[in-house]
Amino acid sequence: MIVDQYNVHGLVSLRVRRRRRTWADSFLDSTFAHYRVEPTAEDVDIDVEVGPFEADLAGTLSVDGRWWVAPGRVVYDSRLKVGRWRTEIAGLDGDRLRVRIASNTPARVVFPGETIYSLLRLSLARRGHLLLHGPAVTSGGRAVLLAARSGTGKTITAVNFARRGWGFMGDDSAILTAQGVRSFIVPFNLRFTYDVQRLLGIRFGRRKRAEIVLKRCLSAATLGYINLFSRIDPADVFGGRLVDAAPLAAVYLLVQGAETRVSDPRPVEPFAESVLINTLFEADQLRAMLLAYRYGNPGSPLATLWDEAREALRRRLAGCLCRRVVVPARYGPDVFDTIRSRAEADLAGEAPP
Amino acid sequence: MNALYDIHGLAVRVQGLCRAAVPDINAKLQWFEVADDGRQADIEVRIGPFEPQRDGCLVLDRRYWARPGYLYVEESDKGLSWRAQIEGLDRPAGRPLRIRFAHGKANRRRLPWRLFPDLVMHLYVLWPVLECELAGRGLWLVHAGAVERDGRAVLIAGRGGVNKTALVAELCRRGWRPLSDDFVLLRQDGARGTVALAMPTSPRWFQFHLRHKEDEALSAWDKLRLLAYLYHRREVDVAFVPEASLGAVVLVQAVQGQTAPEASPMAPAPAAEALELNCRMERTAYVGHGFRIGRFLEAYRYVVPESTYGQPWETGLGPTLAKILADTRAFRLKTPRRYDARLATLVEGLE
Repeated sequence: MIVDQYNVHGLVSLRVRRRRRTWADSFLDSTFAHYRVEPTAEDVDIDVEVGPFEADLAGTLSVDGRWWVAPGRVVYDSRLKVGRWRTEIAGLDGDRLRVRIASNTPARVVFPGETIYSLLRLSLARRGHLLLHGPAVTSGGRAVLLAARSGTGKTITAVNFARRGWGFMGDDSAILTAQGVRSFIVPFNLRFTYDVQRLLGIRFGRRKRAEIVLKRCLSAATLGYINLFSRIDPADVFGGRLVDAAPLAAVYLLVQGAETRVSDPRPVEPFAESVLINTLFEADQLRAMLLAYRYGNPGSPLATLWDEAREALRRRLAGCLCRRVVVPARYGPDVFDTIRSRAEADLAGEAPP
Repeated sequence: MNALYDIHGLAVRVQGLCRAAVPDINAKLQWFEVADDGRQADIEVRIGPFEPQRDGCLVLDRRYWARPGYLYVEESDKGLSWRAQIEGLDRPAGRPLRIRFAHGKANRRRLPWRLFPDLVMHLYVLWPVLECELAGRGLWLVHAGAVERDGRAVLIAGRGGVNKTALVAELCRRGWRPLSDDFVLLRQDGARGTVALAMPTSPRWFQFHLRHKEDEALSAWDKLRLLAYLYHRREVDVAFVPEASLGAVVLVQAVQGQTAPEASPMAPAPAAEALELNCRMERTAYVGHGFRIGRFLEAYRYVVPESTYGQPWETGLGPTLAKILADTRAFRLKTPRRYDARLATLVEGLE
C-alpha cells in the first residue's frame, strides 16, 4: 500500500492510499506536492482510498439513478471523456470524510481535480475556511486577492506581480480564513498555447522543453481531445517569493470586458456575492452532490454550509477595498500596469495595521 | 407556429415553435394555450436566429455576456448547443421579459431532438425563468404530481424515475381526479389554506399511461407507440382539475433493494426540506462539465450582484414550503425502483 499524506497549513489534512502507482497518478502526486508531509498514524480529515471496492448499496436511496444516498454516506458514478470512476464518501455529517474511489486508469488523471478539490472545498468550508477561486499576491505583508473566472488572466496577473517582486500565494486559489489569506500552492497548469517560458520569465532545461513539444504534438494529433497541460512547480520559479499567510487588504474581481477599467471601491454587500458565485461556479459537482445528499437526509448539518460561507465571506471582506477590474480579452502589458499601479496605491493609501 | 399560454395569470407568448414536432414533448406548456388576442404577455419568447447586442457586456467563461438587465448565453450540453438572449431582467412591473432563442446547427439533425427541438428552449432557458417569475407572483412551482378527491388534493412528489406518472394514473383509475402528473403550482390563499394549481406538462403522455400502459418502463416498442400516440395529436379527454386545496403531501423515494413499498409519516420540517430540494435538484438534473440548468441566472448575478431577479425563488422557496408543510400532513413512501401496483393502495390507505 502506497500512502501519501498532505497537510494544508494545518487547516485540513488529506491522506491518499493506493495499492499501486500508475503513470496516471503523476497528476495527483504533483498537485499537492507542496503540502506533502510524512505519513502519520493519527486520523486525518479526508482519508481517500483509491482502488476497486464493493459499494454496499442495499437500503440506500436511489436519487435520479445517479446518486445513492444513506445517512452520512453518498455513492455516485462520474465520467469525463474516457475516464470513469465511482466514488463513495462516508462521514458527511461528521468532521472526518472517508472516501473510496474506484476508477479506470485515464480517470486517475481526472478525479483528483474533481473529487479531491471538492473534498478539500467541503472540508475547509465545514471548518469555516473558504477555498476561493483566484490567486493572491502580497506586498508589505498584506494580500490582494484577485478573484476571477478561468480565462480572464488571473495566472498572468499573479505571475507578473511575482516577477516584479511581490509575494506569491498560488496562481489558482487562495484560502480565506478568519485570520486572513493562506496560500494554496499547486503547480501552474498552463496551456501549451502560451509561451510558458516568456510568461514565467524563466528558461527550462532541455528535458522540460522536449516534454512541452511532445505534449503539443499529442494534442495536435488527437485534435485536442487529449490535452495534457504543462505542470510547473511554483517553488522552482518563485522559490523565495512564496508567502504562506497575510492579512487581506483588497479584493479585485477581474471580469472580461471591452477595455481596461478599474472601478471605484464597491460596498461589500453586493460585491461579496460576486466573489462567492465566482467560487461556487467551480463547485458545481460538489453542490449537486450535496443537494442529492440532503434530499435523502433532511436535517443534515450541511444544509447551512453555503449560507455560512456567504456570511463568513461578508465578514472577512468588510474593511477591505473591493474593486471590479474589467480586463480586455487581449491581455497586454498595459492591463497589468493599470492593475499594479492601482494595487500599489491601494496598499500605500492605508496605514498598515 | 405561435402560441399564447396563460399560466394561472402569467401570460407567456412563444413564437416560432417547430410545426413538424411531437407537440406534447416539444411545447411543455400546451395545456395552458389560449386564443391569442394580441395582449401584452409577461414573457415574450421568439425562437429563431438573432443578432445578440453584446455592447457593454462583461464576459464570463466565454459563454455568458451580461450587463444590467441583459444577458446573452451560448451553452451546450450533451452534443446540443443553443444561444439565448434575455432582455428585461430587473425590469419595472408591467414590462415584458423578452427571450430570444436560437438552436445550434446540430440540434435539429440529432434524432430524438428532431422530434421535439423546442424542448431544449423549454427545459434549459424558459423553465428557470418561469420558476422565478411565478415565485414573484406567489406561485411556487413544485416538481410533483397531484390527484384530487372530495376537493382535497394529494401531492405526489419525487425525483424523476420513481413512477410518479404511473402512480397518478393508477389513482385516477381508482376514481381520483388528476391535477397534473409532473408539476404543480402551490399558492398560499389566506382562509383557504394552501391551494394546488394544475400544471400538466404533457397531457397526452399522461393519457397514454392512463389508458395503455400501466408502468413507466418503456420498451423500444412502447416508445414507438408513445411517439405515434403523441404525434397523432389524440384528443385529450382527461379532465384535469384546475385547482384544489392541499390535503396531504406524499414523498415517493426509490430505495435500492426494497422489495415492497412502505409508507411512514414524516415530520413537517424534513418533509419541507426534501420537497424544497426536490425542486432545486431539477436544476442540477443535468450537470455537465460547466453546464447546469439555470446557471445563467447566477452568471447574471455575478456581473450585476445588486440584482434582485430570481431572489424571491432563491431565498423564499424553503421558508414558504416550510410554512405550507407546517399545516399539511406529509408521508414518505419508500418504493422499489420498479413500479409496484401496491403503491396506489398505500396512498389510498393514508387518507
